[in-house]
Amino acid sequence: MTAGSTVLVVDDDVQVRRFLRTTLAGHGHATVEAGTIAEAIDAIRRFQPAVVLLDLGLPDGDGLAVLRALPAEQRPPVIVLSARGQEGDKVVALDAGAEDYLTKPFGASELLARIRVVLRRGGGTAATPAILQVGPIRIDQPRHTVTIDGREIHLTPIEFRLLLELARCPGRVLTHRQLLSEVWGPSAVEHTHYLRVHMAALRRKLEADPARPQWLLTEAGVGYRLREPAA
Amino acid sequence: MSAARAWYASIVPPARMSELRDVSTDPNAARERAAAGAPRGPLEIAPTAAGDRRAPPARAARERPGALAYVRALGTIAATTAFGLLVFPYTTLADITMLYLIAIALASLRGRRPALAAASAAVLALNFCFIPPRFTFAVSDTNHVLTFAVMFAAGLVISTLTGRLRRQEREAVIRERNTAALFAFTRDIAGATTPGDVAAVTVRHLEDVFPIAATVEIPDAGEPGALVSAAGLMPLARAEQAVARWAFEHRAPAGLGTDTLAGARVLALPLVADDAAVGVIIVQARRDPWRQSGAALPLLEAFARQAGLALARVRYAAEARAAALRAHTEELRSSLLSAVSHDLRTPLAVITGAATTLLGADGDRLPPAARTELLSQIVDDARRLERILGNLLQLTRVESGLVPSREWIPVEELVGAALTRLEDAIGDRRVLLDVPPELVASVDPVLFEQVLINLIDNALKHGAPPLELRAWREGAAIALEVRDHGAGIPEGVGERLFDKLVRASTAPGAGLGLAVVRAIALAHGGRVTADSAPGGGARFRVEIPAEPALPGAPRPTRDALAELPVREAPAPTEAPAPTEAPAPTEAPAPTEAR
Repeated sequence: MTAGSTVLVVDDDVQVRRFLRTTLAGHGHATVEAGTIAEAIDAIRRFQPAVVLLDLGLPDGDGLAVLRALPAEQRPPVIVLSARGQEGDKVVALDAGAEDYLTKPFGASELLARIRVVLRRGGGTAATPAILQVGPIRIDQPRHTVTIDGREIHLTPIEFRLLLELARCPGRVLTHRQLLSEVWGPSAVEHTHYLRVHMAALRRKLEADPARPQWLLTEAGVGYRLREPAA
Repeated sequence: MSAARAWYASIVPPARMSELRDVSTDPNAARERAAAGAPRGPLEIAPTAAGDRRAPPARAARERPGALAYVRALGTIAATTAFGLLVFPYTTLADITMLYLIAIALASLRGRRPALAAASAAVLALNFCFIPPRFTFAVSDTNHVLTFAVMFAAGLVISTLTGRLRRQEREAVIRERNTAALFAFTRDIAGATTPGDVAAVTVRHLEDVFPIAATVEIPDAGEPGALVSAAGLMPLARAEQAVARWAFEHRAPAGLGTDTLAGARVLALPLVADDAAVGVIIVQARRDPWRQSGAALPLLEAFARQAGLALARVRYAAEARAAALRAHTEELRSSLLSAVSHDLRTPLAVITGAATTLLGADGDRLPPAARTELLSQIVDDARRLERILGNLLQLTRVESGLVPSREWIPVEELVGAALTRLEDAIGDRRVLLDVPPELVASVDPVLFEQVLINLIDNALKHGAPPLELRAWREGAAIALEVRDHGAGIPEGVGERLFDKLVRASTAPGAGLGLAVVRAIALAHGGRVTADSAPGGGARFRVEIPAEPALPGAPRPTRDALAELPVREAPAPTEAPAPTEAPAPTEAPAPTEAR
């Protein structure tokens, strides 16, 4: 369903671009390439790609400049490419409006999964359906209930809100700040510990073994992600 | 330094020096001057070679003993006269003269002028009251003129002798004080280990001993040829900087009272060791100094000499340390480089070989199983490369002083994140977990995930399943243990496993993973241990402080959590239920702390 979308690859390394071009073409995506911030902004205006893969270290500056140069409504979803150990940069990019990130080196399956998640979201404006199903987890918004494999579990309002935020887009990472802001409001964005405690409680209710979570995944130093169920 | 003494001697004429000494020996004078707060000191009195002498302070004003001394002198004479009049009927004139001599001697202890005043009064009183014709100032016998002369002479001799004695006593006190000051300084400066320490100790002692403000400047390490203030709060004007520079470059005193840049408000003394200037002391008199004599300068020089030697000693020590460290770092770097380059080259060889086989002319004719095998080898070895590079990077980062950004995190979440990332590597091997859900640690989440990943990865590579992962609170620490059921740790290896490049088995790896574990644990104020568990298998333990005193937010309390309001709750508000120890019914029975 996602094949055929145009992907803009922004990376100054020719080899990376070559790999991405080949892999994406093999899965039916057309690619457009850019090596600098200026080229990237130009390419977004001209080709209106469905997804942008954005490397943060570009020769003419920080890749975030691409995010900042365009107003949110004109901006296709962006997946940031970065190295491990740059969790701070990832968080900044995500909070600045990037949809997700990929840590280099990444495998093709990971890449395609991220692109699929982003394309499914369709830019992030789609209304959430009343009933969400993620793997065995079923969230009934009007009735305010959650079931796992048909078994109902009782969540506090906070836990319900947290799960709902994550389930709106399974597979997509949400930063601590985003979750705190959504559930508690913008003034609460520094209270990361608060979030962790509630996530621990939520895990305890949803996961068979909370220390080996299958659904509520932690992205260390970044945030949380609800695992995308295998197709 | 002897130049400085010559400087002092040359510009303070001997007469003046003795005059100054005299002043200093007179306690009345000193007291009076101290009370008046007159800003007079050797540094400021010293006339300049250029000849722009300051007007010398009025001599009388500085030497006059207190009025009290005169009152006492005259009082003594008056008392003697009264007593003499009482006893005169029963004694001779010679006895009365003796009484007056005693009175003059007593008054002479107060200084020369009171002595002369007393002698004059005594002569008048004796003449008037006792010498016939009595109650006139006429003198009938010329013998009495000699008596008067003797009385004056006695006063002069006694006052001079007392003065000299006092002066000697005072000089002894000063010498003793100087010796003590110098001794205290020498003792303190011996403990200084950095140029900053040396400078700070020097300034502190100088300002304790002398009524001056002092600054110590040393050569700027960052900018060759420049001087930088190492201690002392005195701000220096550009002209004063020039004085310091000159003294430093010429290894001679400069500024106030010297031949050079005499117009300056400060005196700069170079700190010299081994014929090289290592710094400079700049002093400025702050208030009336207690050292009016030339004794101040030799002491100042002695301080400067000691400070110079200490500065040189500290510098040599630092250079030796730096050289040792450089050698050590160099050695470590080269061994790390050789080991890592080997470990990087091996997977690269596999990747290159496998890829070229697949790409080669016969690649298409390989059986599908062989192709898959080669491809998975490429993937495995690429991951291996990534791990080595990641560890190397992390190690460099932490060892070069990266400060962990701590947060309070449930240990369970850390373990979960690490296990998720190792999902593929673990495969279907059994992992037994015992992590209490309420256990919270203040750690850097990214760094600590790396600790867990490296420990688990290490157990997967060198041990045998099942893996056991435990965490518990032990006194003031949080302990984390990873245990496998393999061969255990060879005898005598133990903690050395945490050193870089040490490997216990022949399994592939660069020997960096555990070094990273230790570096991160140390950065968290913790420690690591390794041993063979009873019953077999290796056991690696990391302990970190449960309540770190240092940076990071205080441990959040449950009350604090309850205070945070929820945004537009979609349902009727319910008490914020979740806690650090949630619903026991659904908790997997964990936690027997061992």
